Parts: sequence; C-alpha cells; structure tokens
Amino acid sequence: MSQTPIHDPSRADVSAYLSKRLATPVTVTSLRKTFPGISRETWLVTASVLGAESGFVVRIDPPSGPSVPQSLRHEWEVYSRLWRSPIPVAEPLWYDEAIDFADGRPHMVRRLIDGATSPPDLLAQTDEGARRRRAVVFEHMEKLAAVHTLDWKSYGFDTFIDAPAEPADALAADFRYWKSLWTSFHVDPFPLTAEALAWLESQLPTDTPRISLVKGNNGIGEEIWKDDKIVAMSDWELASLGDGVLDLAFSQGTLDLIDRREAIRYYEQCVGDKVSPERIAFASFWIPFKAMVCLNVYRLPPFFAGRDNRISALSNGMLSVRWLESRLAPCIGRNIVDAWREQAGESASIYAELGTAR
Amino acid sequence: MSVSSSQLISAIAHSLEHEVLTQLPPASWGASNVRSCLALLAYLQDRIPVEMQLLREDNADLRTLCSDALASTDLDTTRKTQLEAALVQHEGDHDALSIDTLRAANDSYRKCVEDLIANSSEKRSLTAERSPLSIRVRAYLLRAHEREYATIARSAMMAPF
Repeated sequence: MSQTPIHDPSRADVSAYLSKRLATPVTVTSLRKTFPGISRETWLVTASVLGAESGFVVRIDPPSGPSVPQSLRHEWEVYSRLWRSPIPVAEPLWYDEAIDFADGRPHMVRRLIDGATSPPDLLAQTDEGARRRRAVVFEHMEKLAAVHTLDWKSYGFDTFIDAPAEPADALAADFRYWKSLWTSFHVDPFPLTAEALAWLESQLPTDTPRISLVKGNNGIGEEIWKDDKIVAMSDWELASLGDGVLDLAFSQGTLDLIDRREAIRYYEQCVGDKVSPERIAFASFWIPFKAMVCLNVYRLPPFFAGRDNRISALSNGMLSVRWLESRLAPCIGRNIVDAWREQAGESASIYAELGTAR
Repeated sequence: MSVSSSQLISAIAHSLEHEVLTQLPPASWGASNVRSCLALLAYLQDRIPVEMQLLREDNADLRTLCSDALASTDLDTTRKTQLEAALVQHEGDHDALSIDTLRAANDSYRKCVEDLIANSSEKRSLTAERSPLSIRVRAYLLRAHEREYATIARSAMMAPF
C-alpha cells in the first residue's frame, strides 16, 4: 500500500509562524519532535524572542488524525481551564487549525516548562533511588487526588464534556461511551472481546464516591517532573468526567514503584475516599480495553488507508491489541475482583486487604 | 539450496537488529520503526508455519458452533439469516481451499459469533444457569484464544514502538 509522506514543520516554518502570531521577530534555535508520542506530535521549540530565550511546545494532530477519540480542541479546552485552577499545567497560549501552518492541521501552543517526563535515576538500586521512588509515587498520588477533587463545575468542564448523571453511573457512562466506539468502528471480528464486554457490563461497580475530572494518560512519562515534584501535568488528551479510579489503573506502573498498597492508601488519605476492590478491579480490566479502542479503531485504519506511514500503527493495531485482549479475557465467567487478584499474581491480595478496610 | 521462510525472516530480522538498530539512537522514530518491523517479523515467523492448519481447525470449530447456533430455538431472524449465509457461502472441503479463502471464511464465521454474543439476551451472572449454546460459545472462545495466542505470544512481548 502506498503511504503519504508526512511533512514535518521546519525551523523556518515555525519561526515564521511564531513571528506572525506573536507579532514580533522570533528565531527558532532548536526544534525537536519528542519520542515517543504516538497519539499526537509534540514539538519542543527554543527560540529567541526580542533577544531573550523562550521555550514553546507545539502540539499537532498527526496527518492521519489523532489516535484517541477526543479532538485536540478538547485537550486545549482542558488546558485553558486548568491554567486558572490549582492543578499545575503549562501556560496554554493558543489553539488554531485550518491555517497556513503544519498543513492546516489542528495544533495548540503552550509554554515550555523546565523539567523532564521522568525523574532522574528513578530506578537506581540505591538508598537514594528508593527514597526518590517513594517521593515520586507520593507526589503523583497527591496530584491525582488534587485532580479528582477539583471542583470541575466551577471551572466549566461540564460545558464541553458530558458528565455522568450521578456518581453511581460514572463507570457505566464510560463503559457505554467506549463500547459504542468499539462496536461501531473496530476492524476485524473480536468474539472474545464481545464476551468480555458482556461480563464487565454485568459487574459494573456503582460505588463511585464522586464525579471527578479524570486525567486519562498519567504517570511516569506523561507529566513534567523537576527532581521529585510534578511541575506540570501534561497530555490531557483523554480527560473526561467520571471515576478517578481509572487514573490509578492507568498510571503506567507508577504505583508499582513502591508497594502498591501503600500508594493506594496514601491516595485514599489525599482524596478522602476509599478505593473499593470492585472499582480498581473493574478499572484494571477496563483500561486495556480502552487501549484496544485507540489502537484498533484510531491507529490501524489510517495505516491501511495510506494516511499514516508509521509501521507501529500496524504492530500496535494487530499485535498489541491481541495482547491487550488476552489481559481482558480472564474476567470472563469470573468475579472481577477474583479475576484481577489472580491476574495480578497476588494470592495475599492488596485488594482483599482493601476490601476488608471498607 | 533450499531456504525456508523462517530462515529468511530470521536473516532479515538479524540484520535489522544488529546492523541497523544499533546505528540508531534508541529513543528515535527511526529506531521505533525498526523495532516495530522486528515485532512484525517475529509474528510472521511464528504464524506462517501454522497459519493454514490453524485456520482449518478454527473454521471447523466455528462451522460446528454456527450450525449449533442455527439450531437454537431462541435466535432472532437477523442472526439466523447471517449464520445461514455464512455457512452456505463457505461450505466445501476446507482442506482444498487457498489460505485467502480460508481467511475470508474465518472472518465471516467469527463475525457471526461476535454478533451472536453481542446480541445475546442471556444475562451474564456467576449464579445463573447458562444455556447449552452459551457453554459451547465459551468453550470455543477458550480454544480459539489458545490457538491464536500461541502465534503472538513472542511478538506481543517485544517493544511496542
């Protein structure tokens, strides 16, 4: 199949664009596309503006479109509201699309924050490494709890995101939304997934304590860290209103940097609610399914249509999806808490312990 | 000299891994493309030798399941029509069919089973009695998963990008 080449913006392109937009001469001195960054392109820009060095981040939809259901406009709206809130984010500057930049693709520009997506020496097997891992996990739990307890209504999140009718419907609403995307658009038949969805639906937890702003992607690799602190939470592409437990299940292994029991207990202290084993078990099966939707529905078709030349669209869309399906399958015919406990390989499960603590 | 498909794939993968990947910064899009190719080559290497046999086994399994479903009394007209069409369209000696024809039949049968599950009104419950068809569907899913997972177990564990 033929592939359409991607036209990356050059330094000259970005210099001209920023100069026009800021109405002042801007010279880009450094331009780099981050890696990884599958769903959207993220370009780090260092530039001279009136003789002073400034940093910008330009986030652009890939030519084939995003690998997630939400538009970049959605992400921009999230940033715009969080910038006025206690949640740390980089200053959003503007959003635009269908203009003479980046082939007219949707894009947003924000300030570059000094920091890194992973704290230094995080996995060092030293006393200092162990101290840092605890500090990083606790910091992450604090920030997630801050997101989950944010008064989202007062910041207008319900003006552009559908909120569940009540907390008890939070996970069911997320289930309906993502299942409908899958049912309508998935490539190739997946009978095993169909049966897994039926089982998950039969055991949807209803004990969500509150409707929260849910970050979506989170954890190491998704936030901007300086030493042990998060200076900006990034990548809000999957932000929604629902049950914050989904963020715990989608923390990219961050909780496992220390004893997960301790991480969840600290989160419970910060957020002021217990995490029931039913919610965390459901979320732990549900997150792989949502990843399947992104990879199969949003990545694979553009590759076959010749609109995405990244071969990872094929390996993710075919191989990763089948692997994710195998993580989803053990819920079939089982109590999901038992299934999750077994899958996690924890005979003396933290979730059993959490259950007794309710 | 006779070189098997598996040997050819091994040679290509070895060259990519040791002569190309090592020349690229690990956290780069070029290296990512090579890693994705290596995962797909590993998948091909594990799939090609068994693909024909797996499709024949799965199709035989699926034809029996679809026939059982068709005989079920609580099936709506849409599902019956779909099952009948798939069974008629792909009947014949599957041992004599090409791999493309086998794959087309497999997609068609699997779509039937997927729709059968998605449209089932049977309540999933840990305590409720399951219908005989539901038991057969579940048993099929387990067998199919074991068959299929064997071909991706190695490649799916490789770097995703």
